[in-house]
Amino acid sequence: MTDLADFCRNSTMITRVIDGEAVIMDPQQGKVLALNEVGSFIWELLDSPHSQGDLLDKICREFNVGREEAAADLEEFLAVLKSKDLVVTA
Amino acid sequence: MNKILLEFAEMPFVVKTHDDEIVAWLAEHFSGEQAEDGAGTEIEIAPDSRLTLVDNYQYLGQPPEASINDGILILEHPCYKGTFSLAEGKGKVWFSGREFLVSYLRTVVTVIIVNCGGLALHSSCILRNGKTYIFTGYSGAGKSTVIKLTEDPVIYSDEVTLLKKNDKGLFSIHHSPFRSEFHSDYLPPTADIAGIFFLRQDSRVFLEKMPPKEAIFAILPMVFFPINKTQLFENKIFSLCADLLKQVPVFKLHFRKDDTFWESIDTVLGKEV
Repeated sequence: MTDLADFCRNSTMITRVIDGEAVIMDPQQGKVLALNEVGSFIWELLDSPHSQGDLLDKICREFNVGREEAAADLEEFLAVLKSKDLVVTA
Repeated sequence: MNKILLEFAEMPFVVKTHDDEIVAWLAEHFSGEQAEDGAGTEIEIAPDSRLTLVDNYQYLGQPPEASINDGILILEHPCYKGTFSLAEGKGKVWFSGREFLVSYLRTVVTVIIVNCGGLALHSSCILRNGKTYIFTGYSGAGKSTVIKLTEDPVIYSDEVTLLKKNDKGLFSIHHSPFRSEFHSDYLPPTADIAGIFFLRQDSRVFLEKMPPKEAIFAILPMVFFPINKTQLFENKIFSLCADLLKQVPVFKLHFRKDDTFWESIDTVLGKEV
């Protein structure tokens, strides 16, 4: 996954914040996905286009985590979002 | 043509028929009254429809095949055929057996109520000490059992609970005429919903609070809707469920077949206040 591409939400997804965390519905598939706190933070950022590097900077600042560990988790999370068509790359 | 006014969750319907027997039955079963044109969603009953069920008992309880094509809901069943135009708010039905007229009306109501900011929930609902309690779960979970275990229950529903937002955005519970076992006189809408309880039969009696994020996965399958994957309605149902869970706490209720579950509910909800 390239660090240069900008990621943003697939605009067809419906999001509701429940108890401070995002629950996403894919209306095409009729499927619902709940995100944890960090996932919800990233999903909120993806309301506008962000590069992987931007996302990583903001996650490290927000959650006070090491860059290397966060980078691997972010890579994995973005791959999941892409596999479910929840995000698009610009 | 006779026209009779029916109300479901404060949504008016005008049912048109030439058959006096059907008019009389609707008046009695749904507290219908004489109506004028344009007073509500129009449903026309085909002339050869009949209230009596003839030799079709095997089809009782069988759901219709449902689809939406070009904004028209199409319901097909061995004992009834119906259409409903979502854009025009008009429908037609032919049926053989009063149960199937009820099935058509119930199905149309489950669709229309979503457009009116409401949900039809597979559940029973009891009014107790001024508050309503919604008991839900898959078939056999005990939705009727909790009614039987309650002393002098005031029953808003025993199968399909009709919830609809009022003008302040708060969900109210409406009298449901779509009953399987326990019938009651009309009850006015009530907004004080104590909780939604997912039933689990158990040897012990206790409640577990469900986090709203977990509850939304549990409640979505409990919403009556005749068709899967209709994008517009899926969006609305999802949003309405999310709104409902912001207003109403959800619990797993482990219960055995006696009335002690009410003590558990009172204790837990008393602490929550």
